Amino acid sequence: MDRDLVEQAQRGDREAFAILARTRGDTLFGIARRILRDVGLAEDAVQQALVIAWRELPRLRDPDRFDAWLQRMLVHASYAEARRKRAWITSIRSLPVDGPPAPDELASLADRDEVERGFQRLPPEQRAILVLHHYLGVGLNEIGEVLDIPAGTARSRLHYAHRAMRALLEADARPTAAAGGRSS
Amino acid sequence: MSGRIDAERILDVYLAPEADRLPDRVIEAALADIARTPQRRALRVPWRFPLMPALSRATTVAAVAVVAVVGAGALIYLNSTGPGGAGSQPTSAPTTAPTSAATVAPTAAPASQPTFDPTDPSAWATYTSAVYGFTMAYPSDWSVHSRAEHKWQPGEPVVDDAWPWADVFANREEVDGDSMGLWVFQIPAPEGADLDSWDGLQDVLQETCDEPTVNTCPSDDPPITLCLGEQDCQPAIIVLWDQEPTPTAAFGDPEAGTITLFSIGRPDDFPAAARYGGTVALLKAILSQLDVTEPKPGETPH
Repeated sequence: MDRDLVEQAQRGDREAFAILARTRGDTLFGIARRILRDVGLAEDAVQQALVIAWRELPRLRDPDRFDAWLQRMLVHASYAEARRKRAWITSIRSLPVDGPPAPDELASLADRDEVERGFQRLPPEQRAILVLHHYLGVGLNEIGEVLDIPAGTARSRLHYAHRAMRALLEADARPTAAAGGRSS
Repeated sequence: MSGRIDAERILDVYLAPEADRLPDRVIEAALADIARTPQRRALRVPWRFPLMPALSRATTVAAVAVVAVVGAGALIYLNSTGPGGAGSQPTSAPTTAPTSAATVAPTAAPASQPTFDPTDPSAWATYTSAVYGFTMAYPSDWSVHSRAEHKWQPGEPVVDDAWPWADVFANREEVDGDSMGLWVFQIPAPEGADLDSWDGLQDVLQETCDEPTVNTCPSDDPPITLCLGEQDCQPAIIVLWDQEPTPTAAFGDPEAGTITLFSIGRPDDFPAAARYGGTVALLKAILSQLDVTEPKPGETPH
């Protein structure tokens, strides 16, 4: 059914595209919100991605790959928003991290701000691959499709992103541990 | 610290799905923008080759007049270029050669040869790209359609029916109003690209295939592997794009950090390709003039 909608939209049917946009909006927003860590920027990224997707849709080669293709538009729109944020915003309005209860390991990091800080210090490209992996839960092939890179490249990028995140968390945790040691 | 931080587990929690809800106003705003936004045409590496924009109607009328005046001599030439070869009936001859002669200036002049064979490379014209600097030969039943005006660059917007980043050649034997094109251009090798292996070249094409000015990806079929150079085998490949069986050839220059692409439009049944045995064979014939040939048995790059 979706394939029919995509093909209709490729032929210029705005109603068909509106259905596709509405059914994908929440997922797109979830991706963008996590990459950008800012609700307003995420909304802008989704809006921008939908407009670009509409414009470029006739060039989509395989309608069955619409979702991965649309997510690629969104990731690129998120990169653009991240660049815009860097240029224009000095104080970042962070998301409240009010997800499911944290397991011990996350709680043991003292507070979520450390995770938030670490994640925001990653470049958008690394944030994107982490979001696709941990939020969407998709495999390397799907990540490669969204990011338009071979699965092997996705694997190595994911590895480096994990390593970078770990390094940031450890760097953040180190002074605290040292300070604690001195006070005891 | 008791051990290494398990970043993956932390990220599983930190990025866990929640009830994300995109406000309706965002969708409505996007749809309002879309209502004012035209869609781009489905222009990939373009095998559709609309020639009329390049030809004024007056020129076309003049070309028709040339056909009438030149008469039988031109028809002999045309017959010899068609799939039927010499001896075909004049009524089967397309009006391509006079049109071509009236609109472009190929450096070869085969029309005066009654037994002209377009597949004979000795009669081919040579062409040097002013932008990219390479020199190549092209079949003498083809002509230069447009010259590259600047180098290819990533993200360049596509303007329909204009390819200023490519040297474009045309064969003007029309089928249902379309004819064949050959696009030759170079792209910078992506950082870390492996230009010394066939797989590396295919990876490059895979990575760049969604660029607006490339915008079509190789099929899952393994590439046709070729070698550039008579002594060492510098890798070259021909891949078929995934939407239509139209081939693109690629070979790299590791020192310059560039990859040269030859994209040829239109399927095998167009006369300009059929006389070679298809588009792949035509592309191989063009590449052979650049010392790109089949690898010897067991030969691999370097």
